[in-house]
Amino acid sequence: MLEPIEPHIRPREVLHPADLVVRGWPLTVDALMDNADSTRSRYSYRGEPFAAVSAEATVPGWDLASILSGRRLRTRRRYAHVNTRELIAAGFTLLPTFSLPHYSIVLGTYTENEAERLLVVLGPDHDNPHYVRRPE
Amino acid sequence: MSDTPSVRVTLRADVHQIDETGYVWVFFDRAAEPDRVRPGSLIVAGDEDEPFLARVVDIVDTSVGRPIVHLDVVGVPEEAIDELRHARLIA
Repeated sequence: MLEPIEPHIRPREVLHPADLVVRGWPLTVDALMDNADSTRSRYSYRGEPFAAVSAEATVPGWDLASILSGRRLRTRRRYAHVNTRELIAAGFTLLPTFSLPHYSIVLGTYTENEAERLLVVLGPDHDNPHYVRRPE
Repeated sequence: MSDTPSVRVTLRADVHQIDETGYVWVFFDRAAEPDRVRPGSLIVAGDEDEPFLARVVDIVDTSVGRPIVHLDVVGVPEEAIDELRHARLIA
């Protein structure tokens, strides 16, 4: 039985339209589909499989630098980001799930087209200046 | 053709994918070599392009009937290699 995601949604949290949603590598259709497949295979949302992609957002206490230099994202050479306004305008829903600064980007449908659309909205990838570089 | 051997990831995982524990989680049945995935073991996770080092925290059952592995992200493999070289444990 799928586990409802609802108890893991942080209440009363509202993103500012200019807040950034950040996603590190891998930034490919396969990777996003894979991520969403795991999520929908474990969690439900409103009684249906929860097809969503994990990301992080610049909520209070977490700016872009602190996200990129954080324990997980410092292992990513590249990342992409988009502001909340653009992501929502493109029809994606953002849910504040689990612990800060984690967010779930809900896919309208679990399809490669939807994952491709999300990649387009996320835009080009950038070098992570906080990546733990290979020691010289 | 490159002489560099391809990277072999012990457990494919997404560094973003956390659950209520705050740890990265992945279904245990995705492990290419399940014997290497034990609580406490240090493994190479992620994907071939950008692998990361992780400590296996635990392996727990879920309500969907598929156990999951929790991973504590340690860093990137190069950090461990550098430290082992510094300690003269590898050339």
